Amino acid sequence: MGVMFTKIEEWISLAREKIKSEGVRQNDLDQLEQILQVKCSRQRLLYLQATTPSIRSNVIGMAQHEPVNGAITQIEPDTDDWKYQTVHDAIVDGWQAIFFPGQRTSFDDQEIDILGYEFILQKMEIYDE
Amino acid sequence: MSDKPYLLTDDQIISFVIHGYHIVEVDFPDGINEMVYDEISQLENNPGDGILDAVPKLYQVYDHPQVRGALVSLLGKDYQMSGHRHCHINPPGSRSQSWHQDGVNQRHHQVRTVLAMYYPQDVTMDLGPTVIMPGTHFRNAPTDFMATYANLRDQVTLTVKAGTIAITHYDIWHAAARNIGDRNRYMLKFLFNRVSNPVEPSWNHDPEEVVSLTSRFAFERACQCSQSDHYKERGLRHKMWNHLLGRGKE
Repeated sequence: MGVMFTKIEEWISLAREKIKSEGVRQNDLDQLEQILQVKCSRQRLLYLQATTPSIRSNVIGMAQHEPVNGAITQIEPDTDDWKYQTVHDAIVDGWQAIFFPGQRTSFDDQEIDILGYEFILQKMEIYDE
Repeated sequence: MSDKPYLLTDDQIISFVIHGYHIVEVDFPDGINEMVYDEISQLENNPGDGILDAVPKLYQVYDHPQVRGALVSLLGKDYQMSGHRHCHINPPGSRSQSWHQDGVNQRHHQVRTVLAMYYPQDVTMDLGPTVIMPGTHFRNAPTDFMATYANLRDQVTLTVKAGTIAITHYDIWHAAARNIGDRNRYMLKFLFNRVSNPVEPSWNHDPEEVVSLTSRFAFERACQCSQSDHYKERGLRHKMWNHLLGRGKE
């Protein structure tokens, strides 16, 4: 599994080294073109539940879905891997919000129901498989 | 035998109201847990509601004074064991369940039914522990709405010693986690029902001491949630508490 941005970053890093020595050549540019032409982009999804509809409020639930066959998203009983404290943190890390919780949902001033306000975010990634 | 020495305290009842569960670590006679585990292992099929007849030692488990004391405290002296119960087998290599409530939401804020989950073996982090979400017994949310949840920030993993019984409000959100251990994890889930409405506290209640404890309803969080939900939660806690005290339907 590979990520296009990662591959480009690796290419840039190598290119910087090469510029110091023999320089960037035609086959390096061919390689870059090849990276950019890969068409197999897929949608990684990240569901974040936050305490309020604000992207600055605390994240209290998280589920990430990898777009590959056999990927599992499940409860991890020993998790303390809370990568993002807020939805904003995830956006800073390159995730794009594609669904925002509505403020004008049904309201009951006595009862409580589901936990948190759900945001859905995506990253379009390139996969080798 | 009198249940009084084993009844819960005000503080423990208040914790149950806020968090929706109470853990009992029972001092069973040596060997009981192992015998129950072995007897279940030898069953050819899961007998469903028939598990009590298939493994009669479970009578001893649920009749233990520590268990009775907790159940009397929460459901009253005349509580009854439900005819429905199940042996949950979580085998090695399983995946986690999704978050769910059992059945449908009870849509009231009383303690009328509890789950009593008995673990006849130590449950480690690897061995498919039950995960529960504190405070969710107040949430009127159908299981379908929980389908997009995976890890929740304040989930509690029940890694417990053999002989532990986790008593939870019927509506609490829960799930079995994946078993990456090397043997089955068994959990016996029995239901117990309240038969009559409370007319007085059925636990070791101290009307003077409790005054300072009830401030927990206002300030204690069962889990992180919005401020609006927390304000509403406070009201719901008082409803449940007042019902347990025997103060009318509220």
